[in-house]
Amino acid sequence: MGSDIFKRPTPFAKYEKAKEKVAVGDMPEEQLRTLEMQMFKPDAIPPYTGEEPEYVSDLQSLMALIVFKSKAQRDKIGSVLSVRKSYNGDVYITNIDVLESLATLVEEGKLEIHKEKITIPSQEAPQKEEKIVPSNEPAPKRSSIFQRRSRT
Amino acid sequence: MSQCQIKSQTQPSGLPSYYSPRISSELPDCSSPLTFDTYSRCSMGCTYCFSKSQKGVNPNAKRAPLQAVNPSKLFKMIDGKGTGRENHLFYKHFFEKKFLFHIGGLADAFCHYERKYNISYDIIEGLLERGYPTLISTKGPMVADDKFLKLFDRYKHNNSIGFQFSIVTADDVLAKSVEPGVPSPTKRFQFMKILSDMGFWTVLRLRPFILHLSDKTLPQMMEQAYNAGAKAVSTEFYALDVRCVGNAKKDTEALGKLMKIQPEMLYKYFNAISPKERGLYYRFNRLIKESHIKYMYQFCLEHDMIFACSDPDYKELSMTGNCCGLSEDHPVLGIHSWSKNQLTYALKEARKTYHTTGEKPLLEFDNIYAPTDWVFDEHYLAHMNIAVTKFPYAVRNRITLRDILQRDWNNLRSPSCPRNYLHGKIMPVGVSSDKRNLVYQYNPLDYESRWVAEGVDLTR
Repeated sequence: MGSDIFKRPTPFAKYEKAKEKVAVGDMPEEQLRTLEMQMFKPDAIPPYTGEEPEYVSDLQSLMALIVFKSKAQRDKIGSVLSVRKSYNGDVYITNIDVLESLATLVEEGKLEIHKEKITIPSQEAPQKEEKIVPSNEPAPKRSSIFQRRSRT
Repeated sequence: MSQCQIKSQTQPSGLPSYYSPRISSELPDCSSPLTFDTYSRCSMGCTYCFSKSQKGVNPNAKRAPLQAVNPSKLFKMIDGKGTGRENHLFYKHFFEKKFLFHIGGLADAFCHYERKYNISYDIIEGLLERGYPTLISTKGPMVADDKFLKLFDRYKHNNSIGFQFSIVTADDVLAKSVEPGVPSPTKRFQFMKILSDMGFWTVLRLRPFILHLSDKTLPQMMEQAYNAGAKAVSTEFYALDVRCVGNAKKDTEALGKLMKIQPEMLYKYFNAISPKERGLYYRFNRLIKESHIKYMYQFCLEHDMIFACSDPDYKELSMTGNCCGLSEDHPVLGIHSWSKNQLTYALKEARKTYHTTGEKPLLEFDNIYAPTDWVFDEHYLAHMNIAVTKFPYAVRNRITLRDILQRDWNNLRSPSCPRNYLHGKIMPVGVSSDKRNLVYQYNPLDYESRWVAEGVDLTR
């Protein structure tokens, strides 16, 4: 029985001897405290290497961080999505029902998203095709530039 | 709240109104989280007081004058006649179900202020009239005053009230240095005997157990509690809050001297012996506590008393799921009046299972914090928990107590994570089938095999 994760022998016998010395006046109690600091040093818990949940809580799984491109964009979106500023300076949005209803309209085909713009389906799409780079696409890697330089 | 705001809400006693009850921040392992204080402060000035260090770091609490609860407002809440969402929610989740009302969370209801204002009397009278299950934690000089004793005697047939007496040493002289404004331990044991003889459930609250100080008279304390009719012992070791400032810091240093720790070594000593995983609230590790816990546990076994442990170390040895020391079988203060959806109950059951069957039980978040119609999911009440203040507003607008519990459960870096808080007594072994939560397993430690080999019964 017993699968102690801390595999150290208990220091009780040594400790009892030291306590006896204090009791008969051979050692001041203050010195015993110093001994205790060495004898009873706690072991660290072994690290856990198994599987962990993806999110620490159900609420965290519902969170996403939004960073606006500019103050102008923040103010524009904020006027529709109730962006608020708390007394401690936090800027936050919790009422995203407007976004949800927008997504529903797109899902139902009542609105379309074309080149990052919302359009009404009956409107004609522009003729000239341009390469669209979504604003949330990661920035191009610069490593190629450095590689070229290193070759020369 | 500013001073003028407080003054504008004065009540008949002349004191500004104090808001209580509240939900304890110890919800993860607390069976009676409905905690209450009559007064905003306590008059007794104990050197080990944890609430002093909590309030010391709160500038609002420091500036605020003494405040007290308005009894008529409290009873409106208890009777379901209060207005406002908080009143309604407290009634729905606690008072309607006659959930245990724990008096004396951060201040003693029977301290010297009571002599002047008599507010606790009105509150306790109202609770007794209603037969409401109540647990009182006290050291107070007022509890055995004639008027209180007459009141208790009048309602003793209800058996609806229990008493915990906080005593940290049996030495009257030493106690005077540690708890300067408190009646001597001898007197407190006398109070305990009077109330036990009336038929009330009494508990020795050996909390905080101050190492190198409480242990000097441990056998006397246990013996005196038994002779005074105590049915249980509830213990928790003293912990040093590194953040303490002002008077709380001075008190901590004074206590260090009594523990025979050289002043320059005080923080180093606590730091050296406390597991790092528990953060800046220095709690000693279990090894240095073992002999004292063993003494208390064995004493309780031999004297048919209940051992209850609020300390994260040896919590598993509690003989009841209520670490304040209430029996699960008490007709009024039993398990139906408090919560078993907490870690103390789960650990106790796991230890019993292990020592009865040899099986190491798994502990799952959704099983322990199972109820979905209780305070766990009440967003409005989450604001009572100090932990919400660290979150941005967007999170606060959605957070629940369940979310706070779940974050600690799954975050292995948090000092409040059960693995760290219990220092390895339960260890993660994987994730739940829906991958939402860590699953822990009871981890038998070395002391258990040693004690069993010596014939100590760990199945109680």
